[in-house]
Amino acid sequence: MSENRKIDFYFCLNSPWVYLGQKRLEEIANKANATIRYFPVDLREMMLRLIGNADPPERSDLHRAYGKMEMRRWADRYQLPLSEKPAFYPVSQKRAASVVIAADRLGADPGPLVYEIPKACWVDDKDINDWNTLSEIIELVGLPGDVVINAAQDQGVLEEFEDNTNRALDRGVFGIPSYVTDEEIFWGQDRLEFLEHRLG
Amino acid sequence: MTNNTVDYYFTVTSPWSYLGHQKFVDMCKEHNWIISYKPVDFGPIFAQSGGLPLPQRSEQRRRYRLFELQRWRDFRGIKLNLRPKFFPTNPDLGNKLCIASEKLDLETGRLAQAVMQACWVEEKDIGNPETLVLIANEAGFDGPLLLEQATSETISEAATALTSEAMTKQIFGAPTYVINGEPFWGQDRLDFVVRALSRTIQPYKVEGPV
Repeated sequence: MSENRKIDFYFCLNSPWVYLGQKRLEEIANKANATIRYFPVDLREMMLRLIGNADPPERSDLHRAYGKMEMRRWADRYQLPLSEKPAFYPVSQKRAASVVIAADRLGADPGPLVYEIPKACWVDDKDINDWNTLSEIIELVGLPGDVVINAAQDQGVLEEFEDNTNRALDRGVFGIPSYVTDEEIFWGQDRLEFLEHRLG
Repeated sequence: MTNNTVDYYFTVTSPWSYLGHQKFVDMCKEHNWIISYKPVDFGPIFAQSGGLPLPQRSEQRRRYRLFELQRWRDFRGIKLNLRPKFFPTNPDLGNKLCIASEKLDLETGRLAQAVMQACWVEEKDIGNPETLVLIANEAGFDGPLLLEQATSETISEAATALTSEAMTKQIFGAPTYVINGEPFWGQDRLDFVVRALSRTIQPYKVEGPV
């Protein structure tokens, strides 16, 4: 292999699917000697631009009920804990996204945060829209809480968040988590196996 | 008492039904499960559940679908035209042919395979009655008899009843496999299906409001 392949990862920090897939993604990337580039996106903005509505369409109870069951299936498959009903959900992921972007800009590996933040929401019943909670998570993964939180409030971070969202849409991404390698999109953590196969 | 029947909701024009069909039929046979074939009309179901017919989906989704079809075609090692000559076409009569086959206690799995393959591989119009008769004949069925049944009042009523049943049971996409009350939506869930068939996992349930 001449150079490291890239996996461009478009995701949200409040998604249970992101939490469920993260360790598996890292495993796949390591095995293939590929680099993950982390791009948190604004899913509401994406939906607004794709379908003219920031909230999911009235796909209704049917899809929601099925989605709940699917989460349990996958959590069991990966043997990961998952709360039935997180105490703080729905929740905004904007601050969490800015934390991940800031950590990335500071040169840290965003991977551990991308696992721990949605886990805090979906397993530990924490409010991931709270700066103190976010600071605790940052410390948990071995980074300085105050430094990252401070960096997260930089205007450039917000711009990067918007750029990520625009870029995702330009590349044909329409949902999260999406993994893109060589312009091929893999949507959903249930497509990680195909991503692995693609990376060889 | 154990129930050894899988309810299989599908429609003959669905590429995903086709992509999973033989695999599903084989795994049921291997694990001694009976398949109850339930072809349904997803038009009214989508209208109720918020699903969108293909032409109304966003360009991103339609593009992604073409990636996915290639992935799964290769994964299953079967043939499939990404853009069949006769697609979309009306699934109604093809579905009714399968319903008639069920009533006559024939090998519906094999018939459905032949019909779907005709659309997705052989560039035949499965919305056309004469074509359907030929497809059935070639697969070793009595084509004219099946067509006669498929166009009868009885089968028409049965078809309507199946679609209502699917709506009542909260089915929202094709294919859906239901095992002991647990729905599995999509042929990409067949590896979960096989675990359920071999009873290596307990059925999941969803109770209360969603």
